[in-house]
Amino acid sequence: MRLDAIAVELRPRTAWEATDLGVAMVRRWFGPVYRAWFVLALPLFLLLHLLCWGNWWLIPWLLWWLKPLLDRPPLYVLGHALFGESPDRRQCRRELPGLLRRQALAALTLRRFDPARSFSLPVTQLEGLSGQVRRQRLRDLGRPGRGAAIWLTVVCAHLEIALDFALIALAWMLIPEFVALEFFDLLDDSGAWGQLWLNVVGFCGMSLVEPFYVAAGFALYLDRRTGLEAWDLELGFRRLAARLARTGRAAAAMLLALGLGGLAVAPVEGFAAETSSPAEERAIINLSVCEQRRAREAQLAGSNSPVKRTLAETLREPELQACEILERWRFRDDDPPKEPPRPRSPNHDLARWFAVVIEYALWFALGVFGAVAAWWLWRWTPRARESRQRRAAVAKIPLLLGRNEFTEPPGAGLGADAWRLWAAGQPREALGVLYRGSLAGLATRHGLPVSASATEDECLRLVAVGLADPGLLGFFRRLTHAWQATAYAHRPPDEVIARTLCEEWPRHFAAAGAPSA
Amino acid sequence: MSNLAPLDTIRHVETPEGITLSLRVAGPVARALAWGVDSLIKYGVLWGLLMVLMLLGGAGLGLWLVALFLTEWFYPVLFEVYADGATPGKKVFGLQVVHANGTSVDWPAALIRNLLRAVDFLPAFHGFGVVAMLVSRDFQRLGDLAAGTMVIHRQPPAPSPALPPGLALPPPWPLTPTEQQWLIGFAERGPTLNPERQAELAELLAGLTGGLRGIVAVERLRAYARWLLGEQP
Repeated sequence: MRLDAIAVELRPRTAWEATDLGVAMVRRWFGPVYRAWFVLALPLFLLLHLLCWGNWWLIPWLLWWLKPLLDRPPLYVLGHALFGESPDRRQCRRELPGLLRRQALAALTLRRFDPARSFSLPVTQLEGLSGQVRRQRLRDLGRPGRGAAIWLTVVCAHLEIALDFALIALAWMLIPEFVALEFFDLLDDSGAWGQLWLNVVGFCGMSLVEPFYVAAGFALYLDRRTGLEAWDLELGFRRLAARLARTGRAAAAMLLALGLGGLAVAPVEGFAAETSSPAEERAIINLSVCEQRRAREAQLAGSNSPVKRTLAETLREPELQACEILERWRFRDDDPPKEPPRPRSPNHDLARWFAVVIEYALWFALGVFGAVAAWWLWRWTPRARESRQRRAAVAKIPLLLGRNEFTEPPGAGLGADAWRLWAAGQPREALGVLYRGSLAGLATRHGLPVSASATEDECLRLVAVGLADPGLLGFFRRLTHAWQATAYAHRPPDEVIARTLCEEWPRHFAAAGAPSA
Repeated sequence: MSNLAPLDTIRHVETPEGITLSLRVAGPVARALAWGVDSLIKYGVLWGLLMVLMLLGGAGLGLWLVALFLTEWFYPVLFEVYADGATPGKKVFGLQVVHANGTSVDWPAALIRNLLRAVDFLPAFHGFGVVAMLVSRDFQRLGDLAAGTMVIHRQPPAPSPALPPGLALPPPWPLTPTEQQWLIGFAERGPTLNPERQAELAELLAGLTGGLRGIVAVERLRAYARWLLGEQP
C-alpha cells in the first residue's frame, strides 16, 4: 500500500462526511465502478431468469439475497482506483472467481443480515481476514464507523424502494393517455409480464443505489483506518521528511552564511568557524560532512573556554549524533579532476549576495540617470517649449467651464483670455469661455433669468425678447452659431471671425455700464 | 488519475477579504436522515393537531387542512431563515443550509429551494432529488441548484484533547503552517494510536528528531508540538 499515491484527501472526518466521500468516489470512478457492477450483476440477473423460468416472483428475492456477492466487484475496483490504478473489465472478469469464492457461504448465510454489511466487507475482501481474526479486527475498528454503517444500510434500503417507485411513476408519466393503463396496473404482479417488468425495475433501482452503498461503506472503513492508524499524519510526515531532505542542506548553508544562532548544529559550526585559523579551516573543508563535524567537535573539546567544552560534550550525546557514514565503490574515472579548492571565507555567500545587490543597484541608478537626462533634453526642444508655454497660457485663464450657475459677473479680460486659448489651438474651449461669459454677463449685468437648463436657442430667444438691443442680439447670435458649430460639429469659425468675436465681447458684456445701442 | 486533485467533499469559497473558507458539503445519507427526523416532527405535530381539531367537527378539519398546507410549505422555510439555516432535523445531524458563497440563507433562497421540493419529489418519493444529489458536484438537489444554495456540515470533527504537560522544544527547522498542524495533530491524537504506531510515525521524521528512535522520538515530537502551541521551553 503506497499512501502517497492515495487519490482521496486524508483528514479526520465525521462519519457522515465519510459517506459523502463514498458518493464522491463513485462519481469520480463512475465508469470503472459501474462496469464492475454490471460485469457480475447483469449476467446473474439474466441467468436467474433462465434458472427460475416461470417462477418470476422468486428472482428479486434471490437477487436481494445475493447482494453481498454483487458488492464485491465494485469494491475491488474502488480499492484499486484509490491507489491510482483502475482495473478494466477484463481484469475484473479474471479476478471474479477469486473474489466470489472467498467466504461466500458465510456471507450468504450467517452474515447476510449483518446490518453493517458494507463496513465489514472491506475487512473480508481487502484484508482477507476470516474467523476470529476478522471478528477481532471489526471490534478494533469500532463503534462510530459501524453505527454510521447501520444507518447507511437503512437509508440505502429506503432509497432503493423509493427509486423503484420513482421509476414506475416515471414510466407511467411517459405512457401516452390512449394506452388505458392506470398507475396501479404498473404495480400489478399477477401476470408473467407484470412480474418481469417489476423485476427489471427492481434491478434498475438496485443498480442505482448499490455501488453508492458499497462505496459509502468503504469510505467509512477508510475513515476509521485513517483515524486509528493516522494515515493522514503518515502521509504528512513523509512529505515533511522529503522536504527536509531536499532543503536541509541548502538551509544549513544559508544559516552558516548568515551566522544565525539558536538552532542545533549549523550555528555551532558557524561559531567555531569564527575562531579557527584559516589553515585549520582549509583542512576541515577538505573533509566529508561527518568528518567535518567530528573535527569541529575535537576543536571545541580542545578549546580553553568551558562553554565550548560543554558544547562539545552536548554534541557528543546520542540524540545529536545524526551523522552516518556510508561507503560505496565507484569508478575512478567518474571523479572530476580535482582542483585545489579556493580558500573560502565563511562570509563568502554573504559577500556574493552583497555584490549582486550592489551591482543591480548600480545598473538601476544608471538607468534612472539616463531617463532623467533624456527627459531634460527633450524638455528644451522647441516643440516641447511651445507646448509648455501653451499649457501655461491656458492654465492662467480662470475658466468658467463646467459652471452651472452664473452668479458672478465675468471679468473684463475674458475676451483676451479667449483669444489666448484660440491662439493656443483650443477653439472649442475659447468659444466655450466666451459663450459662458456671455451667459454670466446676461444673468448678472442685464438681469436676465438664464437658467442652467436653458438651451442655446432658448437663451437667444430670451435675449431677443428681454433686451431691446439689436447690436447685442446680433453679436450674441453670431457667437451662438460659432459656438454651436464648433462644439457640436467640430467646425470652428475662421480666425478672423473668432478674432472679432473676442474683440467685440468686452463691448457688450464687460464694462459695468455696458453700452446699449 | 494521479494528476487530479485529491478527492474531497470540501468547497473552497473566497471572501472579498481574500480569506478562503472551507465548506464541508453534506451528501445524501445525512440529509436523508435529517429529512426523516423532520418528517417525524412535522407529522407528529400534525397528528396531534388533528386529534384536537377533530373535536370541532367539519370546521376543525378545515382548520387542520390549512395547518397541513402551512406546515408542508413553510416549516422548512421558516426554520432555515430564522434558525441559522437548519430545521430541527438538520440541527440533529449538524447540517446547515447556506448560499453557494457561504453566506447564510435568506428568504428568497429558502422559499425557492423549498417550493421546488415539489419538483424534487417527482416522479415519486424524491426520485429526481436523490438522483440530482448523487450526480451534482455539491450534492445539490434541483431546488438547491435553482436557489443557489447548498447544505454543509456545520459541526467540526470531534475537538482535539489537550496535551499532557511536559517538555517544550522549538523544532530545529522552520515549518510551514500545514506541517505544524501535522505535528500538533500527532501529539493530540497520540492517545488514539498504539505506541508502536506512534513510534513508527515519529521515526519517519528522522530529519527533525535527529534520528531518535522509539518512544524518545515520540516524546521529542510532542515537545515540538507543545512549543508550537505556545508553551515556553
